[in-house]
Amino acid sequence: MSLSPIRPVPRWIHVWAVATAIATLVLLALGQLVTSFQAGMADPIWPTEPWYLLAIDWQEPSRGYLIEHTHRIAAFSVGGMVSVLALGLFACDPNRLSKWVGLGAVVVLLGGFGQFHGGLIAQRNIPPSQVHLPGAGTAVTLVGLVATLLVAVLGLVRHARGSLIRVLGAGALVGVMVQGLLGGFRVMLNELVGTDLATIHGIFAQFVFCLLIAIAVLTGRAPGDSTPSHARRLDRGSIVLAIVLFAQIVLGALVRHAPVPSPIVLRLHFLTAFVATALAIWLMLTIASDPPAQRRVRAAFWALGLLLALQLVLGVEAWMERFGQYTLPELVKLTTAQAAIRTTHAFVGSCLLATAVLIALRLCRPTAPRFATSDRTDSRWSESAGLEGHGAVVGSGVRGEVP
Amino acid sequence: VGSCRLVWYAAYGTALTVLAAAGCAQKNDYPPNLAFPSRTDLLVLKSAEITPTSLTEKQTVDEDIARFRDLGGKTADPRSAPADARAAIDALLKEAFGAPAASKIALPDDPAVQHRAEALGLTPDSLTQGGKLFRYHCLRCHNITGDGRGPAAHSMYPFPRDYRRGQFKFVTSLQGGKPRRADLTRTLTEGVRGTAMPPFGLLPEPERDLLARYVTYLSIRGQVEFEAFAAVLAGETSDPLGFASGRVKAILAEWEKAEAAPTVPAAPNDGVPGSATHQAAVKRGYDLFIRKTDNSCITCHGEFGRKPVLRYDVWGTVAKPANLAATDPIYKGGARAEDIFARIRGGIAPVGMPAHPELTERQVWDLVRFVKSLPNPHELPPEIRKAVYPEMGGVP
Repeated sequence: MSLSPIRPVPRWIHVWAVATAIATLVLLALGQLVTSFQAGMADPIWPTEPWYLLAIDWQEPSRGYLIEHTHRIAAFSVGGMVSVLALGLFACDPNRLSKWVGLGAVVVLLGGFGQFHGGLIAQRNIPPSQVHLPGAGTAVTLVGLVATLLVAVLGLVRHARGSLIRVLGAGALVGVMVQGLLGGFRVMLNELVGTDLATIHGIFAQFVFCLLIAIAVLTGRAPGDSTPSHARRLDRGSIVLAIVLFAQIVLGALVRHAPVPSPIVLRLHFLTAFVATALAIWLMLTIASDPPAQRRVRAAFWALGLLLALQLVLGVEAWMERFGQYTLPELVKLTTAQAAIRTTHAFVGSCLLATAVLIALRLCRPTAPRFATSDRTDSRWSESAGLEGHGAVVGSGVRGEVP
Repeated sequence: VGSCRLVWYAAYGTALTVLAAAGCAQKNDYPPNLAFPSRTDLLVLKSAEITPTSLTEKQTVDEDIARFRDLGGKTADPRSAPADARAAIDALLKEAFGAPAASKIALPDDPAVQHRAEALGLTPDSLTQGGKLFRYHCLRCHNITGDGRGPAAHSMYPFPRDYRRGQFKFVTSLQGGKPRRADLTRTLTEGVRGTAMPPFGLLPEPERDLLARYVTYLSIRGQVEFEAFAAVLAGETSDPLGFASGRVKAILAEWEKAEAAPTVPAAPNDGVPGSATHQAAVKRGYDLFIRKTDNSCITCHGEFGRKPVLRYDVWGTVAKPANLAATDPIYKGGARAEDIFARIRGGIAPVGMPAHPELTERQVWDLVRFVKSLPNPHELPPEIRKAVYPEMGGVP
């Protein structure tokens, strides 16, 4: 008989959460490709159905058009995966009433959003200035939204097991919906907000991605070994690194999207790279000197180093090809190689942020209570729901327990 | 407590930094020393004589144009112009049209040119303001000179409009000439359906007007450059400076003429679709559409557009006649009856769609009624429905 850290949710939800995070990374890469090729307005019609490409004349679509629509199809897929994830998280609420009300609320939210989307599809061929927001769809969506968030937050107030993950799941679902709308309104309201909304769309994508990374980490088993020796320093350092990397991505998004990047943004993006590098190196050195911490992050530790080195090279290349030319940056002719460098730079930035968030969560996460089982893979989440008073629990959260 | 404080400080600092960066006013002013680049791409003097079999891939448009000479077309390379002639043309362009940061239309030896340009609304102030808006909204696709080869253009099809030929597709001056400013503003407001040109209807009307003025300016500048290089390379002039000056005046006159041209006449009352008078008009329009003449509609819009005949346009890319029998046809120049009237009466000269001055006003409206009813089988008389939609056998 061995001691296995408990799972807060069934294993399939964790697997699904990881798959969703990976799919989101692919979606981010496609979005970054759209930005690199400046193809955000390759099709000024929005919204479109997921099968829209099947209905067009295939003689005409350009490369930009196909990239943009592939991004939209991927977004639909991720939206579906996040919906399943949210439903799965609410379905494992230990409180029966809360479970069914939560599931109902998510279904209403999804139904309302579908209705809202359908209402906009019906108006896609009329000028944006004449488009009316679908009233019924908006109302149902808002009702579903409030109910979903309320159920999730009430669970948190009740300290129900897994409630934090449900709040994150609800947040991710709402986030992915908002993200879809931001992308659509970026197209629809191009003349008013142009690339400004594209910038927000790009930044918010990273936020939603972080939420999904958090869900993927927290739905897995909590670390079962001892607490790192430099726990406080590592906690602070890893959180600050994640924040600095997010800020750097915000600045990068402003540089990438703005037709004429602000001189302040250009300088800040350049300078923040030094800060992020220094922080990452410091964190890696601290982790390296702390075996329990190293055990907690393992692959992420090495990934952080590799990604950091790669990102610095890509950043220099991307900068040189855009700002090292004898013309205005917005007039630099884009080659496939340049687009590849810019896209990879943005993509590796997202991977770095994901790694930093993962490290922060792994380092800050309390040590799990252990549940005795003869088979580590057979540790059933449902038993953990009633762990209080369970005779097999041999340890509790060393630094407090995540609800 | 310490870690919380540190995190808060970091978050606070980041938020301040982001806010400071995001709130920083974006200046769209062009650098004062920035000049318009001199033209280096080939001049398409005559498109290839072959009938294209597929649409142009934007990534190879310049390569396609380079092959025109072997396919019966005619091109000229501005880079091969004598250095002194090239310098003279560039100097004239700079003197007459200024630079992106200080745009103008003026000739030092003829103050009347500036007055005429200003009468068209092309004042230095409006052009400078329009240039800033153009840089923000249009430059990525249409490029700084309006050549349609901006950084984003290579991933779009149809490719963004190249203004430098001085030709536009959707005009209402009914003579196939220059567009009115209202035509450009309408395209800006509504976009061009079926292309990546989005509508800018939510922009304030004065800003759209400034953009239209700047497009006019780029078009005049580009056309002067095109024609000056073409004349020099063809050996038609030994005085490029004088030739270009003369073209500035002549091209301005064309734009003045377009503004003064008659507008689209009011549509006759043919009743609602399906009524007897409307169906009679549709019948007459159908007969005109399919008549056996050189420039009849059916010649290019084969099977009512289902089997279009591709052709090269003046820019050297392939134009595809619209599928008028599609369930939701794409009328790039607008779907209103008056838009279609203007297309039929004035033609779309750059793509080779002929004007039809020989038709009476009534005949043009008959064609408009037919074209508008074409996608809606229930609006067609039974015998025409059977001809257009044989698979339906005339049954609505």
